[in-house]
Amino acid sequence: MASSVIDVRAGELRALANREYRYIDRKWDLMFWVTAAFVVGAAANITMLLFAGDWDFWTDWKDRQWWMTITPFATIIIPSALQYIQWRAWRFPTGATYTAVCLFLCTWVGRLIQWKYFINMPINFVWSATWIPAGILMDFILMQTRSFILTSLVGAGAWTIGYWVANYIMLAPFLQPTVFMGHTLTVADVQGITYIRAQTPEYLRVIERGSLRTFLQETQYVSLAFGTTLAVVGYWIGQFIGRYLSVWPIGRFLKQV
Amino acid sequence: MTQQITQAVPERSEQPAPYDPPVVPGRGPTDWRGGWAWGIYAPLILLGVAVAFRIYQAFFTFPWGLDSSTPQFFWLWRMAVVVSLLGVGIFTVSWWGWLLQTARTIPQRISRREEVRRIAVFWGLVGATSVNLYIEASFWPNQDGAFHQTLVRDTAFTVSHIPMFYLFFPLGVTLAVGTYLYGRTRLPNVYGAGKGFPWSFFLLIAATVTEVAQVAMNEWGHSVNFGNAGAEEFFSVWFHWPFVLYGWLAGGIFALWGETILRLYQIEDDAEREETADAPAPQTVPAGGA
Amino acid sequence: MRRRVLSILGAAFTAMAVVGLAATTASAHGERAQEGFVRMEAVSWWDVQFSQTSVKQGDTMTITGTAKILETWPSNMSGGSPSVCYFTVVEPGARFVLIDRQINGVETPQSNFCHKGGVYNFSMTLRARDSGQWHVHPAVAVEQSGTLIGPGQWVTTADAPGGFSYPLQLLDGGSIDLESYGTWLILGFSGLTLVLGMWWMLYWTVPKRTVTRLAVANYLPLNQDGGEAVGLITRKDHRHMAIITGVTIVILGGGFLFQALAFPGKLPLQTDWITPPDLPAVTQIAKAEATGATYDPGTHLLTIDAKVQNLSKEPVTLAAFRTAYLAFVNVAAGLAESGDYIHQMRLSTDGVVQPGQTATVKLMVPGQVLEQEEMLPVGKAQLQVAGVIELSDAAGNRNFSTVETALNPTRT
Repeated sequence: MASSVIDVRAGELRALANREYRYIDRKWDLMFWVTAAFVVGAAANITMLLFAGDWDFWTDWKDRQWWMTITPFATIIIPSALQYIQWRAWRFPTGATYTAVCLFLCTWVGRLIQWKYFINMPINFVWSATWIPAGILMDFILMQTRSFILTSLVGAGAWTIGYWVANYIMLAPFLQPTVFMGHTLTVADVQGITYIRAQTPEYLRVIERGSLRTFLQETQYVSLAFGTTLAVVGYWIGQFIGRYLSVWPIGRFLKQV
Repeated sequence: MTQQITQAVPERSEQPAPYDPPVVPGRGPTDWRGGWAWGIYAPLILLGVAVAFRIYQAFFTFPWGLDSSTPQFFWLWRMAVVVSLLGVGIFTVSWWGWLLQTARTIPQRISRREEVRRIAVFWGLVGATSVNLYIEASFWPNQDGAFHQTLVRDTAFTVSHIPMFYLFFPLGVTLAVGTYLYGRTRLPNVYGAGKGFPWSFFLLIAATVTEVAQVAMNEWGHSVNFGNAGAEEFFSVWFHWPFVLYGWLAGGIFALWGETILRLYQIEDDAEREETADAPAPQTVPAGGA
Repeated sequence: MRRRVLSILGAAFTAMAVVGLAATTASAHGERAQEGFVRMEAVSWWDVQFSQTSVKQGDTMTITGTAKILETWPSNMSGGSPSVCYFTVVEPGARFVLIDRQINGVETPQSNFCHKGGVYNFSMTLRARDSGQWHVHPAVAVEQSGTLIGPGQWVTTADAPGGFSYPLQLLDGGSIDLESYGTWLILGFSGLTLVLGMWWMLYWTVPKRTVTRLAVANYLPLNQDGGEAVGLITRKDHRHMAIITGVTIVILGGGFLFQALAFPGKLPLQTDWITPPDLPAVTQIAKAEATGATYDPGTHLLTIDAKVQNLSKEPVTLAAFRTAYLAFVNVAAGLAESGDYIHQMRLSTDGVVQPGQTATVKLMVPGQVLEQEEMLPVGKAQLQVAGVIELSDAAGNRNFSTVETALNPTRT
């Protein structure tokens, strides 16, 4: 008896999912995805820029300690919000990947038009990170678990690791040693010294400057772990945005302004 | 998918027939050159203005944008602030004024086709607001970080600040409020005055207004010399963070899409109900499972 | 018609620019907005020389000079105690590359420790990178204070056949071109991730409708997708997404292995800060102090009252008053300094002080120069004048005495 009620319900929903409409054609879908891409990319970009932008602008800021502590937190917020919105509205496990793709396009347009063609910084110094592999992993976890709590815990870890691995691959050549002005430095350090930034003196870098305790060279992994826990916090900030600033207002009105 | 709706036969013969726009091939409610036209034109115009300003910068930044104490800077850049603010001001007054004035003369009883068309235009305006948010929160801020590596900041009106803070930031307010005025006057079923002030628009408009207000705090922060906060160009400095927090309020834009989609469903249901009103009751098809 | 209007506008703008360029021989980079007291009391520059001002892409140019962190360093900057400095160049973009920096004769690749009263002879060698006309200044950034700019010069860089390249030797012996190194990996790998992302997105958005799904989603609990029965997310969808995710993981793993094998011996980012040695002690031939200053806005004359004490056995000349990046040279001393930032001043005497004597000298400094530089603090929060008085003798000894005194305008 109960199963046939569920079957009936599922059948009705299936029919509703396949319903033919008079006015709602595919153009609505296209306009939604394309126009939303701008505001999603903008929100993700401004959050990344003003919370963690310096680490993303330059190779010589991508250190073992601060880069991976701050960036995952800053950049998981909007993907989390979009995960909620797109799952709640369409049951699409696409929020993180969509945000990452929009962010990718925004940052590369910015790096090329502004950093490269305006002030002529070489692109191998000011390249933007990619968040897309991290987004794919996080969306896959949402799709499998259908749970935001599990996605916040496992997904934030996947986000952090996915982001670090993807971008460390591109950073690796710049961590090779070279001798410059008689001192052994990395290629990234040399880029920072030689390509003159009038207002980013070298001491301004918030990077690992050596410490008393490096836990037998485990600095990177400690940062990844802490970055993950901060990313969990960032995930729930994003959930607040998705739930209370984007979905809750639907159909709600202030009676007096 | 789109079908023409025949004019409803007036059951209450005292009321005039609801307004239904004429059928023009290719310019229907959901045709690209019909209801969606402004959804294409408006974003293109905005992007065009941004690109034009970027080209202007390519010619006149080096060296005249580097020293705010020169007469060249005054004419090329401070005047650009004046032109930007005047331009936005004139556009704002004109557009809002037009929306409010024509609200009295446009048809109040409209057909479903016409309402769908208006929702498509509304989506076009929301899209324009979205594109403006991209220009003000991504396109110019990327330049800001780059440009301030070429000089020592000496004025609030730097080359990269001018199109960002004094053109597209205020334009964001214009577009958000204008979109609301369009919704209030053209989509009474969704945003009519009697319903109150929508939370969705409250958040979106608040985002654009607080972003403009934050410009003042930003300039104050850069001019104050405590610690390294003001004098050094650290992009993630604390007095930049309110830009982000206010930007999150723009999440309300998704509720605009949600609210109008729900209205579209209602329109579809009404149309279907009317069509099947005189038809025999359909057989319930037993749910066959997956 | 439109084209004609545009070309007229373009010509008008170009004309304005050309006229403006001709009218201004010096150009700043924002230092005029820094408070006068900041520039006068913080750092003084002298002997700044550019080895050449007309170069081709790839040519080197060396900027040498001296910067002193004055004893009058403002108490509201860096907590009154500057400790970390970074000698750099202010130029509009990456138009030059810095290939060498020496502070007091020592190679200084990154920041250096510094202190109030420190005197730093700098030598910065640049290679021209972008063709064009660029205004270039030496500068020193001080932690928690910002960048203090020195005297700049226009440098013209012409194109070179073959453009600009940047050979750099790696520690393992390999040679790279820093301009393009690693770019293929960045663009290629980033592009690959974009393909993955678009694959994921297009799978959901192209064959499936979007806007109409809200009606169904409204009926489902948040943690359910309805499964195969409802058909919003099917087993086929799960399979396909597993494939994309699997490919992503393989690419990440493969890429990580590739970088470990291709780029062994990586280092973390380095911190290599130098404490420059103090310069050898200079023979003290004289010292100067300022005892007062007045400014008359009507005649634009800044008059500094100075007392010079000759501590040597030879006559000493008050050669110049140097403040920030400006220098006012004693006309009577006949010094052969010239440049955009070198101006003349008169003294109430010939500026010569005999051995063992202490003389009072009035320095008549042309205030228009300071006004143009927005350096005269009249109307600002600190009415003071500061700088360095240069004293020299016939043997070539030079002493630089830091001076600071209150400024009394005749009216505000």
